[in-house]
Amino acid sequence: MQGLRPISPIAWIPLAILWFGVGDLSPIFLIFLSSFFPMVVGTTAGVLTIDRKYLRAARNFEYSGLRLFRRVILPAALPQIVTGMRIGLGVAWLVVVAAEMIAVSSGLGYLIIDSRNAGNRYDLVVAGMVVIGVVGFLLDSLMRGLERLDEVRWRYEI
Amino acid sequence: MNPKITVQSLSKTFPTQGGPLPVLDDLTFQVADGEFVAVIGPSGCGKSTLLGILAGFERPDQGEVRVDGEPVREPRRTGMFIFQQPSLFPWLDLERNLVFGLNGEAPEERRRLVAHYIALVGLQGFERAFPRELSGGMQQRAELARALMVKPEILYLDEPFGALDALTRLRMRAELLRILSRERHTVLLVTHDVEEALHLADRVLVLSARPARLQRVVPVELPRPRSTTDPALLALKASILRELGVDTAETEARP
Repeated sequence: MQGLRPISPIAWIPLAILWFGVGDLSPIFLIFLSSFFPMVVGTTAGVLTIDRKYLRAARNFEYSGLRLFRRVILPAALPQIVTGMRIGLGVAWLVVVAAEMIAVSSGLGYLIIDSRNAGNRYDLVVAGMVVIGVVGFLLDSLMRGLERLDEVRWRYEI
Repeated sequence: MNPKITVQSLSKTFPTQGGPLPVLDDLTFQVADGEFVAVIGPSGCGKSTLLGILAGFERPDQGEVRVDGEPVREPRRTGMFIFQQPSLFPWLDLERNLVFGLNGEAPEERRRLVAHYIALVGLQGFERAFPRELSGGMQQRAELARALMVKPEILYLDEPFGALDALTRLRMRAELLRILSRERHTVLLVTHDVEEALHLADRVLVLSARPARLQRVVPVELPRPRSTTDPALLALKASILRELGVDTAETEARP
């Protein structure tokens, strides 16, 4: 699994088209691929860096199994899970646009490529870029909003 | 009367790169119900390891610990451990931290317990505060309240005031005595502060340097409330420090 991580999701585009054809399934596969690894890395780091003293306290209160997971491990790892999600969403948005340029015939990426190919309509190209920027910014704002929740914020303010 | 805690020929050795390192060597002692016992010894002598074993967090190589006649195998709610570093959960506010250890109590009983223990440790008005918003001393008081919420029979205190400044430390001592005078618990306190041990404990166990052996048991039969300037207390302190091989004059000069 880790061996697949350094491969750019963009490099998967030909294989995605081969496997899933020119349709919605190819971009979905590529988006999954690109956002999966940042989230795995964030979650793993979140769990591995849980301060032992919290686990020790929970053990003292006789917490174990699912109860320990729900009440201690998940909330303790949540800030880094959210960070992984934020990175994952950012990368996913980059890949959506790239996939639309090649694998499907709709969407912002397609608009940009098509506008250039069909008569050098650079006004439409730039308009597409602006929309991509705005949507990307809004998506990231959404994730930053998550980072401001009390459940997540504590990690940055200890 | 049966002892609350029985420690029988306890030994523990840590494997290290330089070979096995014995830390505890054949410790045997008992603690009575409601007794306050302090354990002191040179730093690195294995005091904390001893307390970890007593509370069930670590296993001894030899010997055993019994609480009420039952061998200790795992940490239990009946014996709460308080460490130098507060371990309040930073993602929960004070009230949610306090109810963390509760198990199926009715809502009104929860509210009553929270109100009672928040008042007992003097943190009224901070129910919604997160640990990061509390000072070190307040966090340690909250930690104590969270432990007391589950009605433990034994408190294991591992240098609980060690990370606090000198003034807060003195205040916390008084606070602990006040709380214990209201709700009696069996207490085991590990500390490197001889004065703290004599101020608080009914009995002081003096451990030797590693591997820790029971070097001396000092009953502290001073009337309460105790003053740290009481000549009898100071004489005991000097004799324990001599036992630990420390020159008293040198110790007094320390801040």
